[in-house]
Amino acid sequence: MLVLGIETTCDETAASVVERQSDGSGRILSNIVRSGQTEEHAAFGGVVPEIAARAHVDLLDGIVDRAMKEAGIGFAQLSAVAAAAGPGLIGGVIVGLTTAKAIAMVHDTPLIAVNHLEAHALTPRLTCALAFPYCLFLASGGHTQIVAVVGVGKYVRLGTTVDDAMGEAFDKTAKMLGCPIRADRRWNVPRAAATPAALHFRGRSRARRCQFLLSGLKTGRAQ
Amino acid sequence: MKPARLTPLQPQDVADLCASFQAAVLESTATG
Repeated sequence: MLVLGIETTCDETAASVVERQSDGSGRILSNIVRSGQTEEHAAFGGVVPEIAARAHVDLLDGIVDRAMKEAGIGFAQLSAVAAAAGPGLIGGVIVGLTTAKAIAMVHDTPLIAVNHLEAHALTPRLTCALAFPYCLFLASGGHTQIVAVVGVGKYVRLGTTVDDAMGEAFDKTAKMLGCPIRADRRWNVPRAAATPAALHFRGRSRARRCQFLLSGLKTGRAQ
Repeated sequence: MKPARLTPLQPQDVADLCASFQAAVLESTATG
């Protein structure tokens, strides 16, 4: 079984071809990622949804083409086309999902609309022999959760943030520090700003009740 | 809520998380 996957939920444009083997395991045949769109967003100090969506429109067809060529297959060989259907930046999600729908319609192939968080929960099983159940720590720009992954479609949320997601708190704090985004996605933190004296953290994490309180990072920096 | 510095995890935090994970798995398995 061969599946083309498309991901456009934030500022990375990606396409991949994955093969499900006879023993049920997965094999990644291609994985093309255009990371960051750094130049487009740099002037704004963070990801701008409208710019990200327009960049996906420009890039996605070429990236799908590269993914198919690297996998060495044609569209007629696909068993299905999958795309992240949310949550995510809605402009980007629409671009990726509509592209996947078009490919599925033209080639009379099933479409799989994938929950973005479920994809994060199950992707580790593609790259290592990870058996159910396992505990997942999911940290992104929009979510910070601890989840018991019991099986496909069976998830129990053990904890979550009660205010900001980790990515939101760290990105906005870095922006307040004036840290430019680098192409490798690392924050270029000035030495003075990285010292405890300059960065007075007020955020608090309380795992006992499995709650994360992260917006204090921004408040602490602003004060 | 009173602001506080970021605090490291304590052994009891990890124990509580492990217990909640175990309970969630057992409950999910029992209910099919």
